[in-house]
Amino acid sequence: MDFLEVFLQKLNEKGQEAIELIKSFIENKDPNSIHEIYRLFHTIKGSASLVGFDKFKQLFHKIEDYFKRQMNGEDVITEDFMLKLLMVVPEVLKKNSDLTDDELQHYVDILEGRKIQTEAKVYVTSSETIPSELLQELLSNTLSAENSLMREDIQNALREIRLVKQKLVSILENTFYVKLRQILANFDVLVMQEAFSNKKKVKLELQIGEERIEKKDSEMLLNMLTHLVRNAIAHGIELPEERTKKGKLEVGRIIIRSYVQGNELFLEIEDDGRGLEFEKIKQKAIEKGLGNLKPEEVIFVPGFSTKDKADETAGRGIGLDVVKNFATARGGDVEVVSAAGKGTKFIVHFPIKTFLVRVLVAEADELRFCIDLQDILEIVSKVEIKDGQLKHKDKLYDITFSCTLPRFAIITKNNKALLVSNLIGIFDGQVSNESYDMIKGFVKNIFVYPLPIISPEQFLKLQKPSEKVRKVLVIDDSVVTRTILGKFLVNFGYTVFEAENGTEGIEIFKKENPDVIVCDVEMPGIDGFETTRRIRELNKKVPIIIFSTLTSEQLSKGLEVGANAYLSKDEPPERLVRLIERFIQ
Amino acid sequence: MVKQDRKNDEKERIRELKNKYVIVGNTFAMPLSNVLNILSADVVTPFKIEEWDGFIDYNKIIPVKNIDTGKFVVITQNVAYRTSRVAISDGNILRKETSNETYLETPEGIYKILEQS
Repeated sequence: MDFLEVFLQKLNEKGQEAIELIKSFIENKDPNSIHEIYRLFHTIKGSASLVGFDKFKQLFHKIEDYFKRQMNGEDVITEDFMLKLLMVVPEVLKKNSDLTDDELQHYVDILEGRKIQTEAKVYVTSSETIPSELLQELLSNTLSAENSLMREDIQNALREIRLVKQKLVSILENTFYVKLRQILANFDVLVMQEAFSNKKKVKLELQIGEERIEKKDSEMLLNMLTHLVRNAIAHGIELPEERTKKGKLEVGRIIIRSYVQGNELFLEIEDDGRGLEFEKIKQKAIEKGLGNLKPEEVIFVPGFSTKDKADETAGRGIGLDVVKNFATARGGDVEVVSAAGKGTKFIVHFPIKTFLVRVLVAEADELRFCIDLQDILEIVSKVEIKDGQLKHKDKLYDITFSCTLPRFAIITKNNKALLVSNLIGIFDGQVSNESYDMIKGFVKNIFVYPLPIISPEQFLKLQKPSEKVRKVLVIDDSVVTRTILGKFLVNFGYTVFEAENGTEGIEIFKKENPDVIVCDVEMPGIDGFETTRRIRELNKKVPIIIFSTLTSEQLSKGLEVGANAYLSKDEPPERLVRLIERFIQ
Repeated sequence: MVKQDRKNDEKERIRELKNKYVIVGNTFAMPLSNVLNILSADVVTPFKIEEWDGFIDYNKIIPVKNIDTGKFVVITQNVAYRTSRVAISDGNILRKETSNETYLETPEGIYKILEQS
């Protein structure tokens, strides 16, 4: 780091420290902070001199001089002067070279009251450099993944790839997003300046968490917030004496609050002022031929104002219509809540863009689609239908989507149920935002083709779910096989009948008329082949699956006597379920 | 001289291509210049919605119209067509007076021309 860089870093540190102390002075009028601020500006002046920033030195000498005079008994450090400093210092901190003659003159003119800074400004600062250490880490993870794959260590490769994914997402987020807290860091300066020029007392309270917004939106967002806050100070918050008369605290309060709900970022701008004058707004709306709109809506119409002439605060090129446009252009909206004498709250909300989306991939008949995990309340593996609704844990849910053979139910956050035949898994993917009717976007990277993300509110395919009980007869002499298989099939919504030998199986078949029969081969009494042959004589259509440990050569015998399929007991039970479903379909 | 000839050949080739049409699924024709690519149907998402039969990712998500469930997808700017039959042809342009529609007349048949896709 060279000498100049050290200076710029220190300038920023000391300058920020001074800004905080100035704010504190304006708020508390603590005379002790005067000396502290003087000391900081003196240090900046000395350092500027060392790096040859002569105009910097001259400016800070001028500022320092005011403080010296104050300490010598002159009353020159007023709230007004401190506010002027708040207009000058943040701008100067942005410089990375010495001031020009014109700049020096401009700042001195502001400080000496010859020039008025017309607009209080808030600055967005950002850095976009990716640290080289992080790039090296990415290379290291990639190599580890590659080498793990070459060693066929899939688990480790997956772990490394997931680390790469996390780091890339983090880089992208830092590149494209900025924390709200960061862009609102100097917003209190604006509030102080506006309050001072309106002869009001206002305290800004930021209730901001870790929310981020896209960097490209930050300037527009600041303009929007600036407008709303200016409006609140100029028209909402009352003068101190008026507030006192009304029994309110002398200092008005503006709160900027941010939070995420669902997939949307919410920004609330709330003041405790006089509230909107709805009657006046209604009257003006009628005069302008907008009487059909509610007052809460008409204030967002371009050009609408209750004033005949724009006052100093209004008419600065941005109106409430711009606030509305900002939100709607991003797929959101703005609402206003106001109570006479109590205050006004604007609620701006819009969807948050993300680089990755986590989805549940499902199949239903010929469709394969996914649902954003954020839209899902619960996944139910045992589907129970009552009067055309899903029954789950003593609750009934309307079914908005169903398929031929529902095996799983997805309960969405709007308390609707989607019945699907299969769940493939949960995956991360990149989002493509094209939307069609009930598709709210597409996820790439899961299959070779993009997968639709369905909108649970709009996804409707009302096939009447079957309430017919699907019956499976399991004929097996092994109690273990019967119990395991029985429980497994029950979990998939089947009603299971068990028989421990062929004769019993045939009797149950005659009585219960099952939809599918699963039959072992080696059993006491008549074997599975003979059982199959006898059942086939009774019913030509009922599907019979031979479920045995016999070799595939013996399969031909099973098929000869009328079985429809053969499945080895070595296969996972899910395959048996699939086979059963295929036959039922 | 050789360079000039090559340039002329290239111009001629472009002129010829400008007059070429792609016959999709033996049902309609579109200017060859409207076709961005022809891909395998494996990369189509099967999903029937509105008037579409699926979707394909080609820099953006493009809806797919199924012609005959073939193994190719003809990609254009805003729509893709799934078909088994893709042919390049030229011929006479015929105009229907009543509807202002244009048709391509080829030895194999007459095909309506989709100018915008």
